[in-house]
Order: sequence, then C-alpha cells, then structure tokens
Amino acid sequence: MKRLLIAFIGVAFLSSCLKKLPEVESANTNIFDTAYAGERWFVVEDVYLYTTNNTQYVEVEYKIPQSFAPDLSPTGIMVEGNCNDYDSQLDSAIIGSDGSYYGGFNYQYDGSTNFCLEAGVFIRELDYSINKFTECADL
Amino acid sequence: MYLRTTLFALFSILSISSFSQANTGTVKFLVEVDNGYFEILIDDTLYLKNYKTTLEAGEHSAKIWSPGYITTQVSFEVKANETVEKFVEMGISNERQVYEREYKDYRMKFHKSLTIPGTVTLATALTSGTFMILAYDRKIQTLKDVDLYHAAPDLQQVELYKSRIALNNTKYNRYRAAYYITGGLSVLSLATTIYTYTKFKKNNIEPVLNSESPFKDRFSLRVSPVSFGLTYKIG
Repeated sequence: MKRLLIAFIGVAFLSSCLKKLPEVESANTNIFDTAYAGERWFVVEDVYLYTTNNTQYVEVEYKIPQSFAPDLSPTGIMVEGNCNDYDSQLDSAIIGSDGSYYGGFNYQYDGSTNFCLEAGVFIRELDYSINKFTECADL
Repeated sequence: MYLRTTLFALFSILSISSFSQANTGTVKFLVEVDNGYFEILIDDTLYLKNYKTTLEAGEHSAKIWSPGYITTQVSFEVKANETVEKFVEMGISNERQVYEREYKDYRMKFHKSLTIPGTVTLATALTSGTFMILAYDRKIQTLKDVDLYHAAPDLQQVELYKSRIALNNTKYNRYRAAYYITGGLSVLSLATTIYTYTKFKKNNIEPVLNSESPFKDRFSLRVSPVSFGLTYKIG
C-alpha cells in the first residue's frame, strides 16, 4: 500500500512537470515579430522646440524601454515615425547605458501644440515598418 | 518392537569388502529418467544413490525408484571380475501424469493471471517512460527556443525561433498526451495484475509431485567425526 502511494505521488509529480507550456504563449512579444501581440513598445519622452538658423523646429523624443528591447541588444533599432501631417522619417534608436533605446524625430514647427507620433519598427528586408503604435504628447 | 534395526559400522563393511574382493564384479545401472535422480535397493539390503557398485558374483535383484516413475524391479547376474551394464527403462507413474496435467493447468492460469497482465503493465510503463523522456526533451528544447526568441535582434531570427517553437511545442504536446494515455493504461493494467494475481493466489494451490522415496524408512545414515553408521530397518 505504501509503495503504491509512493508510486502514485511519483507519477503525479512527474505529470505536474509535463504541463502545457505557458511560455509558448508569450513568444509573440519580440518587437521584431510581425505577429507582435505585446503592448506599445515605445514612449514619447519629450517634445520641445528649438531654433536653428532662424528656423523653428520641434523635436519629438522617444524611448524604447529595456523591457521591450530584445535580450541580445543590437547597437541600434531602426524606427519609422509619422507625426501629425509631417512626412515619415527613419531614425536609428541608440542603446543607452540603462539598456533602453533612445531616439527622436525633428520637424519644422507648424504651430501645433499637440503631436501624435505613430512609430513602427522598420524592417529592411520587408522595406516597411511593423508593429505600429501611436502616442500623443503636448508641446 | 515391530521394527528390528541393525547397525553396520563402516569398518566392518570395509573388512567384508576386502575379504570378498576376489569373487566380486561390478554392476553399472543405466537408468532412463529425465530428472537425473534415482535410488536403487539391491537385494533388499544395499541402498544406492549412485549408478555403480561392486557385488558378489551371482544372481541379484534390484528395485529402482525415481521421483515420478514407477518403482521397477530388475534381476541381473554379476560375474567375477567383470562389469555388467544394466539398462533400466522406467515407466512414468500415474501420479506424475496427473501432476503434469494439473501443473500445466496451474501454469496456464498463472500466465493468464500474472504473466500476461504483468507483461502488458511492463510494456505500457516502458512506453510511458519513453514518451515522458521524449516529452521532457522537447520541453527543454522549446523553452530554450523561447529564450532565443526573446533575445532575437532581427526578423530572420525571430521567424526561425518561432517556427522551431511551434514545431517542438506540437511534438511536446503529442508526447505529453501519449505519456498520459500510456501512463493511465499502465496504472490500469497494474491494478488488473494485482487483482488477477491476488485472485489466482487465493483460488489456486501449486500442485506438488510426491517425491518421497519408498526406501526412506528403511535406511538412515549417521555420520560423526569418529564414526559412520548405516541403519537398516526390516519390516
């Protein structure tokens, strides 16, 4: 009886180790994945004005937090940004000391006070961006 | 007393045999038995458990017994300084025939109650174990690929690891299901084996062939560091 009980516990223990793998369900949160199912992977850090050669520009700075960056950190991540009615731009976000990536888009200032940045990860092989999200910020 | 016992000391046997050596011959018994064991009683006085002995020349008779065989009586003549070979054909006893039939039935029931369900249990347990090992292997591979997926810094690697994850996870789930099915069958057949064997033990007794020698009450052997004695009972 004791042996049967031990055998039953052993089988139950082994069975518990062969459960469905929830980790597989999370294998869609890499920002380079065309079937990305994670949250918005960037945040608009700052929007500010600056002047160069008497022309006013607006800088929209963004950040890709470390938690959204791949574990094997590349030196740069190509990001395509569309802001308000401006033409789209490509930017290479550079890794910071904290493991997050930083970048920004600059546009000639058109008097707007609210800027909505739609950013996507640009894939050279596909020649288009994937995983586009939008975040708005005030000047 | 109903039985009269006589003790022969070893030294007296030795002296008698040396005295009568000139008028003796040897007899070899060739006994056809399948168990390799037999006992011979010669002239109702000499009890042998080997096939060869020396006797005085003349006519002798012997009774040969082996477990499962009919005790057979033979007569033979020993000639001085010669070796006689006596072939003894033994008939199988009715008791043994009954025993063999009963034992065959017993073994058949034993196989049905233990060997067959036990083999099924073992086979399903081994199959289940194999599937478990295979499932573990796929699990490790899948989790490794999940880590590589999260580390992948470009689309190509992401696609590669995703396809590997999908493949290994499918196989993992398949092996896992097979493990549970065969594991369940294994537990079921184990329970069946225990049930059938318990029932078998309860309802069946292993038949035993009576292998008691008919000569056993006639002789007894005593051996000590200082003496050797053979007791023969007449009665």
